[in-house]
Amino acid sequence: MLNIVVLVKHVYDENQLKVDRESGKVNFEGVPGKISDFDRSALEAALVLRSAGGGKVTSLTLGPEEAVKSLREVMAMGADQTILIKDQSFYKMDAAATARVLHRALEKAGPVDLLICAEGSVDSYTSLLAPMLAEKLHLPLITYAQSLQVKDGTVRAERALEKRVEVVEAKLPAFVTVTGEINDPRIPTLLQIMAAMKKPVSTFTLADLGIDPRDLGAGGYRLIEYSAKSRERRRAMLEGTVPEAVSKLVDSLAREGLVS
Amino acid sequence: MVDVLFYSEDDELLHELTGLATALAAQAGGRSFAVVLGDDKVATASSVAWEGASEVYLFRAPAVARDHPEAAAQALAQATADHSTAILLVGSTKDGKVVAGRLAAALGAPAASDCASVQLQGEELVVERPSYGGRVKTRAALSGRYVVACVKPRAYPRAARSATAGKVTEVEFSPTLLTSIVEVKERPSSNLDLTRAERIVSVGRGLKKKEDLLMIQGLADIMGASVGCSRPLSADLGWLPEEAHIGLTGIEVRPKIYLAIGISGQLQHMAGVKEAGTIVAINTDKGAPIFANCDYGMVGDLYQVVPELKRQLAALKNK
Repeated sequence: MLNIVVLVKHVYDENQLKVDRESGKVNFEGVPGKISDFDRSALEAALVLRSAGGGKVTSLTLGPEEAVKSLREVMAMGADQTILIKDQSFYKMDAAATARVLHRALEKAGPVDLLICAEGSVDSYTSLLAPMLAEKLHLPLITYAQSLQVKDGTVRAERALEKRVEVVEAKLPAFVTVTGEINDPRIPTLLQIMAAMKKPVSTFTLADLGIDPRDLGAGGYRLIEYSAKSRERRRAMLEGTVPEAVSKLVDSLAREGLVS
Repeated sequence: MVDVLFYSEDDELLHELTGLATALAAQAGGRSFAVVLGDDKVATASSVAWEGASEVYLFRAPAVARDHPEAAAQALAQATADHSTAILLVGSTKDGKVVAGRLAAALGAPAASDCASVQLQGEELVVERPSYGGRVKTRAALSGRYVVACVKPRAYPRAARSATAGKVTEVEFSPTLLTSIVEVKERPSSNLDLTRAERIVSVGRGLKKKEDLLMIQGLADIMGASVGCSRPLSADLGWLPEEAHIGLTGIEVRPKIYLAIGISGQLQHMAGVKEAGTIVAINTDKGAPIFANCDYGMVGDLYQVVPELKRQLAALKNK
């Protein structure tokens, strides 16, 4: 029986950010949120382990009220229980502050056999949260897992690194981060989605965890700015039949000296 | 006075950090210290000492600790204990981020990964890094007794050889390892370096089967181009080596011409070609995001377009 906790994150949809072309300023107001891209893979990995050996899957997130939407998604997929640490200032937190809050929340939640999250979250993609949290919890950490097995109290995973693949083992309790390639997350049925709407979400505040939000900004990380200046491209669409369009392309590239 | 300590398990990146660390230390009125980990890294330690590092700590450790991120974090923490204030630079590889995260938590220090630029401004270390699929550039300032910055590969040039050598100090070391590496499968070395390629033909999910890469390679050959790809083709399907993977989680390229074939153009992919000269997109889906982010776009089936393009380019050559 494995007690598995999956960390998920509700993020702004990066495809819908509003950017001022002139100044490059990014406006997050009214940008819709979504569950971070690879979080479903993290949950799927937990569900596969649960169906093989039994156990419980809890999903934990830190975020604003809207983050409940992401928790509903993982509940529809099959998470047994979800926890929201509710905090509106969450988007300003760096990895160290997030690690501090999640550390406290996990201590409160009790013993965990396996912690799983995605290799990074699509907002800042620091990939620092897991090692920070692992250090605080004194847990072994296996990052970038593209496969995952648990047997006789040992977790074994293949890590996809730049120049090699490592097979790594650790004794439980342990922490694993997964790549998006580890599995194809299941798609919940309409019935499952509707049932998930009715399930409770346990909600805590920072105060419940004994954390003063003002302390979280004192970690030495200061956001200066976000900017999104991008180069305007020509976007010339080449029309006509395939030979015609290709001919236009070859002519244009030849004129620019890009082909010869 | 602020010292700079630096580490990377990747030798190339270590040489890049050496130059950056030495420059930052000079600016901060401190000294630069390399941390090198492994019994067989004597030559690496020596070459870094000859590139301007004030001192190299060579951590002698058993083979199981070589390249092990937990050992590296502990070595850096141990080395840092001798310095009252320090900037810690770690190469931003996948293992490097584990090292940096663990180290930062152990020291209670702020950290940033994937830094494309690291500058000392007053008491703060100002870093620039990508966020939101590479679409947004984040500038942040790190401050405190210790700060940790993970620096991207190729963000800084290799250090030049200096006239004098720094000291190499051997440190006895017995790390506590919580994970064990039981097997290492080297990826077939491809020697592919797209970061310097002037022409790139890149292919994505639009390709139906691995054998069709021959057709793409044929086009690349005519253009004198190298072949790259989007994440699914290397990470998921394994049709091309990881070195060919262009994008936020792969490599960044800056060719004069980038021909994207069957690539939808997700932000995460486009983050890798921001600096490309001319981008050409060929895709069957006229709503594909790449058409909003290219110089020339063609809506069409790559299986018709690529052979025609090969034919016309060959004809151009024979003119």
